[in-house]
Amino acid sequence: MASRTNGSQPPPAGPPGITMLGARQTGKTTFLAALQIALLRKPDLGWSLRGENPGSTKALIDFVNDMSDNHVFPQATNAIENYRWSLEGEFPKQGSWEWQRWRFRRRDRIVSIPLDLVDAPGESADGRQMFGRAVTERLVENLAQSSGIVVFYDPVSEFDRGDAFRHTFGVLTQLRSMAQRKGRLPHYVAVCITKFDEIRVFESAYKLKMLEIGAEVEEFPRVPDGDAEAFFGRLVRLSRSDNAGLILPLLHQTFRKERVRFFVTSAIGFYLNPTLGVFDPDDYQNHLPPVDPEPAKIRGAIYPINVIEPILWLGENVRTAG
Amino acid sequence: MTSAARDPGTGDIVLGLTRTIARLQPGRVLTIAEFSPAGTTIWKVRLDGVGIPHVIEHGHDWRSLRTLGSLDEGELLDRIRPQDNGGLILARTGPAPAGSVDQDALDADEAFRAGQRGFPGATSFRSPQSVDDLLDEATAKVPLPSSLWYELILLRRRRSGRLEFTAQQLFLPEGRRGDTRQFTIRCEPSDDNGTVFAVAARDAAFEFQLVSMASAKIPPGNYQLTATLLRPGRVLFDGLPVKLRTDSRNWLDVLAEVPDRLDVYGPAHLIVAVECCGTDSEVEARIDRAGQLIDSVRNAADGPVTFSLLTFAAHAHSRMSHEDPVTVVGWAQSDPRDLIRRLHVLHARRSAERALRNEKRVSRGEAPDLQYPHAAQLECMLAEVGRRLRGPEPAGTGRPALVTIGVRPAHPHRVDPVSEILPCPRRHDWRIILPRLAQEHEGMAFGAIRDVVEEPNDFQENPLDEIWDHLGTDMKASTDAFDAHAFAVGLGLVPPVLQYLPFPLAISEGAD
Repeated sequence: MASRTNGSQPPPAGPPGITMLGARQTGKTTFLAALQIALLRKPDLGWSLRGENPGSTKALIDFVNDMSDNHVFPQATNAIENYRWSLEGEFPKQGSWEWQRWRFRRRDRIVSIPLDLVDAPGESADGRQMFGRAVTERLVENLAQSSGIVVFYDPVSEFDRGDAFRHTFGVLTQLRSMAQRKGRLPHYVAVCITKFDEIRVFESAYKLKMLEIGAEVEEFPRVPDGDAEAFFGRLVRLSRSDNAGLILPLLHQTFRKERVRFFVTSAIGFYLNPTLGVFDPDDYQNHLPPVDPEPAKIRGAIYPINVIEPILWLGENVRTAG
Repeated sequence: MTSAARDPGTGDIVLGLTRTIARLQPGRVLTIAEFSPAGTTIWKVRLDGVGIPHVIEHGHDWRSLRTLGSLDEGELLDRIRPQDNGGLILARTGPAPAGSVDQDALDADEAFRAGQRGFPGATSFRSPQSVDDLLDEATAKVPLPSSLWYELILLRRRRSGRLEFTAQQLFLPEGRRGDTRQFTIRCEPSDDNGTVFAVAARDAAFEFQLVSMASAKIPPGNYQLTATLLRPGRVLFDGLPVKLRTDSRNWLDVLAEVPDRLDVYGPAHLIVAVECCGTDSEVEARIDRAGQLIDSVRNAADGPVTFSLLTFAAHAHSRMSHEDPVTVVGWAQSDPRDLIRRLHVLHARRSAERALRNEKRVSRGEAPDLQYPHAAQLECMLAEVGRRLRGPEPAGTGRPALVTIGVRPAHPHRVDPVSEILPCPRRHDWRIILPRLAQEHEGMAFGAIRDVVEEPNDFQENPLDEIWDHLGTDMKASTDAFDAHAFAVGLGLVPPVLQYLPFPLAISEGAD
């Protein structure tokens, strides 16, 4: 399990970061933990992740070890954690050449997107017990200072508990009240529909005919980003709560519509039988439910789906905005 | 033996006596008057209706035959006079007089001569052997009557299950001492009186008359016997594990014990599949139940039964996990006594190997490899049973009966959104395999023994238990309260109550 060495740190004073918002057990920490693995799986993208302080670096290492070696999920977040990572990419600079080793070479441009990721426990956003709680106040402060927000929506826990609206409405209402200017908030919001690898979520997408085969050799299925919002709209109908349908209007009420984007994600991805090497629609379950006293486990290798994309999208926009 | 006064040898005397007795007409009595120093003995020999010689004797000492100190000849002749025309033989037995002769020997000689004078047509002889010894030898050598067959009373089961009397021929007419006959019979369970070996004499009109009856408590099974004719009326049976004792019961009482029918359950092929998931004590409990069932069927089955034993565990949930595949411990074996021992050994070996593997993993800082906890390879076990029943392995004799002992549900053939149980890597689908098994093998029985079942009828409450409902189509039980005999009865492998047969059963079945 990842040890928490940088918990309870104050919000960063540096550039505005990205804050995670979601109910408990919606996969926020696992999402973060899978980020490095996702980048390693896609070296062609040219991006890598680095820790900006010792605690963040250690968390990065622990996350990868826990998930890939020990096949366990990161521990749930108990306090607000601040991971100061940065996305770094090395790209050729257009039209720029320099004399190097007896010949002209193209000069590379190093792009760095700071990721100040704030991972708050799900309870801190619970609308029923948020007033007067220090952890909630810090979460709202973090959100206010962030330029990007990742909103997590877990269809599985929503089906079982139905608390997504409760964990979104109160926080966003407080956030709006803190805003200095009127109108919609300027944040970029990536709404991540998590746990796409879970059977019920995948089967729903299959029945809704919203799947396409990814470009990878493993032929993993995915929901195209263009259909993600529609998929979200269908999933909220399956919520245990009648209020889940209010989340989308709430987001559009709070943020500018063009700054809200939907992603269907999976931190651990689908199980891939190594002997087959391609996605098997009859055997893709990668999440093994807990069996007392054993915790939930990851069955096979991790192939994150749509984990880099929302962070890159937010990072690019946050950098531009900064 | 001649009517002259010369002394024939013992062999001739015995031969003559044998011929004389054999020629006796039913109801006629052969009288033999024996004169010896001990007195006069009158032997009456007659043949009964089935040709068995019966002998009675009356003895008189010389003192009772003397009057005023001398032999009363009239009294003597009256006593030795034959009662019908069966014939009379006079015998002077005992050692030949030599040197000083006592009065009794002189009286014996005088009486012998008086007999010859009184019954001049009677056969007479002298012999050092007593008539008792001579008759013992002669009656044993008497051949069976020329129109009687000796047969052993048996029961025969018709295909309908009804029982009828039949007979195993033992000896032909005029059979003699020492004649033998080999044959095979089957002994079924018997009551405390045991199985009766009744020898009857049968005439040409198929009229039977009981000759002898002996019994013993004989373990059920087939026996190859050798019957030897010791003498008319006495037959020795070799090949039984216990010695027969003369049975003095009333024949009609014995006949009354014969049931109308004998329901035979078999031949059958009992296939037991044991789940080897869970703790050692859980697995051992299942193996014990398997052993109890196999023993019960082996001991109580009527027809031939073959036995197969399989194990199954859980599929590995990842490449790093070890998987114990479906294993056939034994297939279609007629003697199952070694199967359970081999299963114990297999389980102990696998447990030890698993412990060693986990010890190594822990020493490397890795988590121990735990078996997948949610399901077992029921579907692969069913596929293996189906494959073996189709061959080329021997399918076993008779109707198959599959008994599954375990607790977990099967792996689905593909991802299961409800249970989230990992699918079978071979994509076996029990919903297809199980009906096919029943379809391909008419009359196949299915029994299930589960670890914990509160109510046998609650099988269907949990959707995951559906397979166990099908596996227990014919019989369900729990490992906690298991009655092996009742379970075997429920599967139609053994008769509902132990049926006793007072007579041996003929091996070949007659047509209905």
